[in-house]
Amino acid sequence: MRKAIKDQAAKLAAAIRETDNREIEYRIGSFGLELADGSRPPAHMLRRIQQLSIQSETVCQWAEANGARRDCKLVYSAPDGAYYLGEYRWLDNNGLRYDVVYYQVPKHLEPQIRSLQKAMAQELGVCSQVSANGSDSGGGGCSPCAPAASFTEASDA
Amino acid sequence: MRKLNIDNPAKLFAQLSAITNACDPNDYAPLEYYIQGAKIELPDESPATGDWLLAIKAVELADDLVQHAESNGAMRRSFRLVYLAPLETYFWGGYYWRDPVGFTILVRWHRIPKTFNAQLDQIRQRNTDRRCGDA
Repeated sequence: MRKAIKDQAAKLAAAIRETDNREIEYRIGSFGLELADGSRPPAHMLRRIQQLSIQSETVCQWAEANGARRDCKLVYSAPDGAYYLGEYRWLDNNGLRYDVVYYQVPKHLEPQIRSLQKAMAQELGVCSQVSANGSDSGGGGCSPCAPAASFTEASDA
Repeated sequence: MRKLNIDNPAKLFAQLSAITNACDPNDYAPLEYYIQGAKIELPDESPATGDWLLAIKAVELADDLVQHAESNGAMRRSFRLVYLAPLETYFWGGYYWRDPVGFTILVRWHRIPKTFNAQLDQIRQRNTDRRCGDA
């Protein structure tokens, strides 16, 4: 991801966090999903986790390191008609365990998401043009927020 | 008799995997299921029946003697070694993540031939000693 876009995304994420509009919190342990007390999330919560973490559309994802590393993704949930920020905070060095929080993005911050999407689209346009001219060596240099990329692949490109 | 590397979890689970892969699949059929969100499903996606759930509960709730986890991007695997005292048998379980967020996990438990009990008993003994030392 280009630094300017990542900075824009990180700034937006900070504004979303400030609202503290937490929808769901859970832990990805070594053997599945857990609540903070180690118990398994109840069925209704698992359904919601599935909806937000798997079935939603990823707008953008990136990694931040501020002491502990955290991976973030901005998603759109069509059934809710709303955007969410998912924050995966590493609990160990190799990213095997995470504390996860999904924040609902307030409506007043949605214009910033659209602005981010526009910046990403513009960059993709530039990348396609560069590739078409044959002057880009390829290899993933232009991959802002690729929806299919894994967290590690999306970090600090 | 193969010497188990009981001090190195990664090597130990690799050895256990090789040992149980070499066993007769009829005598040592693995216990296999999916943790699918809140549900336990069998490999054919049918819900686990009572007898399966009983077996699953036995291994899931057993104390870990050794744990090990590996990650390669979104691909994760976690391993557990447990001992079921009523059967005087060790089992090792592999948890294979099917998605990056841990919603669907394939779990496979293997019975370890009793010829390895003496070596694995050393791990159990060591854990007991450690607990006593901590107390």
